[in-house]
Amino acid sequence: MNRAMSLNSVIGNREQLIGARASSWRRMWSRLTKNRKALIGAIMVFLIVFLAVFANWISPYAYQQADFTSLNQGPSLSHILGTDSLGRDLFTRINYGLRSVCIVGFGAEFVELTVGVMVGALAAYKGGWVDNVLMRLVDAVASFPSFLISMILVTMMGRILPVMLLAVAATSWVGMARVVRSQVLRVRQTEYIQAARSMGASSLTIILRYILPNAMGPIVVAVSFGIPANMMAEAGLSLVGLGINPPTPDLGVMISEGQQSIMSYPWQLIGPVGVFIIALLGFTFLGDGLRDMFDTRSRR
Amino acid sequence: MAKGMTIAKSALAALTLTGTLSAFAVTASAAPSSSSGSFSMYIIGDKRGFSPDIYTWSLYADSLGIFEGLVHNSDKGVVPGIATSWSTSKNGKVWTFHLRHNAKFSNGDAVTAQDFVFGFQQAFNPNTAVKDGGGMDATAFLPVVNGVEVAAGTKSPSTLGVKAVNNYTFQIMLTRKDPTLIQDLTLPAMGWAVPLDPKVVNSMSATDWTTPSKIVSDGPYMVSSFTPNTSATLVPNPYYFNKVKLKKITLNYTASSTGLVDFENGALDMAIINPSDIKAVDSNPTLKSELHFFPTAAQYTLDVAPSQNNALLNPLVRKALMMSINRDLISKDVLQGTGTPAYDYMTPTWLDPWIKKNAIPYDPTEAKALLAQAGYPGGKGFPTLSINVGVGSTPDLVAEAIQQMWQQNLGITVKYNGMPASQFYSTYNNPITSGVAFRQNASNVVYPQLELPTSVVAFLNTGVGQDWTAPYLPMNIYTQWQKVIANKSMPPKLQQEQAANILIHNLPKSILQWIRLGVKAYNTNNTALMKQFFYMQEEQVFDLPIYTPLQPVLIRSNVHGYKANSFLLTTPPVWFNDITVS
Amino acid sequence: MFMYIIKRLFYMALAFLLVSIVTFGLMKAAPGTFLINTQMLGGVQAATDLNIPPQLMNSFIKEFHLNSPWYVQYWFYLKGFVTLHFGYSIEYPSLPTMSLIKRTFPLTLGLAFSATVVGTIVSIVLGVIAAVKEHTWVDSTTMFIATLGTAIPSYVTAIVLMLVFGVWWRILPILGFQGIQHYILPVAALVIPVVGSMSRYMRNSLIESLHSDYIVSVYAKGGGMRQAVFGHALRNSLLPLITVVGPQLAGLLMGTVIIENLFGLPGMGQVFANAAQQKDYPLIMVSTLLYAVVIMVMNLLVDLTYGGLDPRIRKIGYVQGR
Repeated sequence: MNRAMSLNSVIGNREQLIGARASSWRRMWSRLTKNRKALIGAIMVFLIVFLAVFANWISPYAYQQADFTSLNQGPSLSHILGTDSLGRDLFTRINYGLRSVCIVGFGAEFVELTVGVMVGALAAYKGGWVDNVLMRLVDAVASFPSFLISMILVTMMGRILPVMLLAVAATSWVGMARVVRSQVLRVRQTEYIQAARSMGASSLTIILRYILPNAMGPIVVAVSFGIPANMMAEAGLSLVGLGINPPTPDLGVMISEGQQSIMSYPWQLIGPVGVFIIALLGFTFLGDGLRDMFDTRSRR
Repeated sequence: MAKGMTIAKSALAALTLTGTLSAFAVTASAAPSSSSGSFSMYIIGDKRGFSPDIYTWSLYADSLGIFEGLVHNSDKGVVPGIATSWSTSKNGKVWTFHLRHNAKFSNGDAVTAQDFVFGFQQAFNPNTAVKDGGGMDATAFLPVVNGVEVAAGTKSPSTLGVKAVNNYTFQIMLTRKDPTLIQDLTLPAMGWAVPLDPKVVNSMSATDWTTPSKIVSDGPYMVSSFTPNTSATLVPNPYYFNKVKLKKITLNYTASSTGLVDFENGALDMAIINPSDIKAVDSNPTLKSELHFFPTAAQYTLDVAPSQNNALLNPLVRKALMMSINRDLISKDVLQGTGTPAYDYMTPTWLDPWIKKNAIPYDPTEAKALLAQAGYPGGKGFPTLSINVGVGSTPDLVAEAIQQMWQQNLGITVKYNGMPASQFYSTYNNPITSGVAFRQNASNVVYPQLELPTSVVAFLNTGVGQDWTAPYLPMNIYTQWQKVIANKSMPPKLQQEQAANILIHNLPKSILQWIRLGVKAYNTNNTALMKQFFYMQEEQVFDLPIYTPLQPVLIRSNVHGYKANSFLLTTPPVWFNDITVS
Repeated sequence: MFMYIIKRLFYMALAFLLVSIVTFGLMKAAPGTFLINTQMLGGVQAATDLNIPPQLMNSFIKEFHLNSPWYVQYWFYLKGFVTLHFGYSIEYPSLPTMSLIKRTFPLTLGLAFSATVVGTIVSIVLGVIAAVKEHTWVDSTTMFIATLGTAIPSYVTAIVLMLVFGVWWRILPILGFQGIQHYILPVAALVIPVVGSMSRYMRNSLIESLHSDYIVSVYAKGGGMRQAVFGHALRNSLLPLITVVGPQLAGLLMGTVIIENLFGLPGMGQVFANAAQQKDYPLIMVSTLLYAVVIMVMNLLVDLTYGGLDPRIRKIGYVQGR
């Protein structure tokens, strides 16, 4: 926290406080826009999400529609990223593939966030044996062979989107729980929480209204790194033969198909891999930028 | 029906990894003066070791020159192996083989007629398979006296119709005349018909078959290292009676995502490439000259799946569906030339060219008319049709293509339903609850004479017979039948009788007539009848044959004597010791 | 310290139980009975196993106690693992699982360890270079490449490496395992993402040390950059790096599953991937537990090393917030 803000909180002047908050958001925004990396990252993420969400409208073809007169075509005006071995438009399939990847990436992160926040906040706030039990659980889950557990889940429960999502989230929530816990521990010690507690606010209120908003920074950073990690895990599953069932296009499956045709039709690999890398890089850049923003120590 | 069809479902589903005596030789050359050079090839493998007494992929490697039987295939056709000459009795039922006196196992022991007797008994004895932890050999190609009974466990292995007249004279007693016996002995699935050293084998445990130092074989090569699912190394058998040509053969059981990469990198001298690699190979003159297309005996087929809805039981519907699949386009374009259209489940066109005569042509207009005639004008009212396939890491392109062809040509709703192989097989016999479905099937076939039904009951108890016929039962009867075959507590013999009985009494007449025709052809050894049997299946569209893989194989130009074994989907050489490297 | 180790071992045992319960539960909850899957192993094996004699089937039932209630099955599973009696698996009925692991696991561990070692060394070097040249083009270029490294998954890097070194230049093997040179590309593919994240970590932590008061005093006493970095700051920055190594190794072990498949390496990862696809329950359960134990032991070792080096932690007895 910067000096102006702590001063305000000491004075407790409501208007000033709001003003300071607003200016602090504005400062963050200006920091974000000045941070070129974060900005580029944000643009890339926006682009990827846009393609995924509006795949129906943007895509020139239906994703399953085969055209036996134009198999394995290179990029052209009618197929800007080329076609695959059934003459299906790659751009279209990549858009829909991005949709699956985003659903798993964001969805799993949402699950991780929910579970992680619940466990982390509870542990830190309650402390004592609750903390001890929950953190030992977190340690135990952290020692799970995560990718193997995901593979088992997908094998046992089927290769469909919701399963993939859960399979990816199943073990990765522990990272989030640790981040949340350490943040809550930090914030819990501050004066305003002590004040809120002394005024009789309930635990839930304190966690939701005071602690979490103040612990947000590192959590947001963790989220922006968590999403691409989930996407990688999802594509990784496809590479060991556990990708989403066709006909739903899946970037991982497209990559492993593209890998087989790399020698003859390189665009069948370059397209999906390129877009995938853009997605991953976008989140990484954004996460880096956000970390710089929240992390006052390493600010230049 | 003749057996050997056990490979049926597996082969193609596992994705193109899975044999003629006709000439597909690459080059032939004179033998060098001593063992020299090494050769590294791709072949399908598994992890159960090299026991010839269980039915594994490694059994095929055994048959290519790790073990050597009475005769073997070579780049010059069938040639004498351990037997130097043979004769048949007048009635054709007793075969006498005279063995060479200088054949030795890799431990130095002499190969005698007693070792053949022991080897054959081991293969027929069901306890051997239990001991070695695997499925039983396909012994039924050989109509040897008491063979069926010994394999069923009802007679002792010592009653098997094989005999050592003296140390170097071996006799086989048959239940019926078998004019193709010598040819059949060279089939990969007959890899069990080899001599075994009783001294060694009797003291071996199942694990020992994966331990090279414990494996004793009589072929030109012996196993010197083995990593399950990965690779094996073969080196010359020091006691082999003839010259062994190569210093080392490496069998690679894995390949990276494209065989072309492995070939270019030098990891493999023989690599099966992806269809999508062909364009890259064609653009490189050196590679292009090293590319060969070998026919295979595997047939990619779609079978009717059992369903509440009987839409597919109408022959008109099946014909309409067959007519709207463009098999030429699938072979030439989708598979990029790595397939040839198939017209019947059991008869690949390269082996049985006559089958093409009655082929159902690609004709979408006629198909629409047939569908309308069947009561579904413009596809209206037709139930949702699924194509169930078992797949590996990438989807089944051919099934996806057929899905689009049906949808585009007939206006019906078609679903591609790819499942992991294990799920596909474990739900294989389950009835479809909504709509109708085809399920993918793949065969590894042999000579048409060996594919004929030997009797109605026998046919209805083979995997293939069941796959084809049972879905044509009314659903309530089907579930009865399914209960019987799933009943593990029933004695096998009773179970088979009951299952066959249900089928015989409830199948459509056309199917039973067709099977009886086949039995007649088998009993009379009549070629015209045999052809009629296969034609009839084609006309009735009991299943939808799609394509026969045409394996694109790169073989390094300095490798000579490679004649592909087309009865195996991975098209290894017919005999390891034909291969030389310059 | 002794109490701390005892406590950690106790927690490890609890974690181990949890992993075993979860895997066992998943196997039991899976659709399709064990026996059906045994009959229909799927893939290339289906053919051969359709012929499985009933005797063999019965031996499976006996071996895995399939006719007993679930807790009995669980007990034998756990007992078998702990006493190292892994038995046989369905896919490898003639090869004891123990010897299968002995054949394959060393390769996987070797892959993960060498990737960790190479990754750590390269990361330290790159991190130091970037930190010393803070805010110059050297720093920004190195860090940009590192970011690319973290963002691009190892299986994509692997394909590029295969093409460049295996096909275009043909200087390295890309298939199977016959010698140490077969390790190079797989390790490289695994290392690049590791270097990406660890070198950034190293740089930031070194910069932090370099800006701290005690380093200023080194300069004040007339010490140079070299002395400041190698004499003082580096030591302080290496310590936190150790905490990152543990999780990285766990991540690498998981990465080997895909990499082994790509390069056709006969490691445990490939065995597991096969087992998962074929639903080979006994093999899946044993290998999952094995991986879990390795990861737990690694974490313990890392924590002990860290605790041994950092006096503050030695007292608290637990690494907080990791």
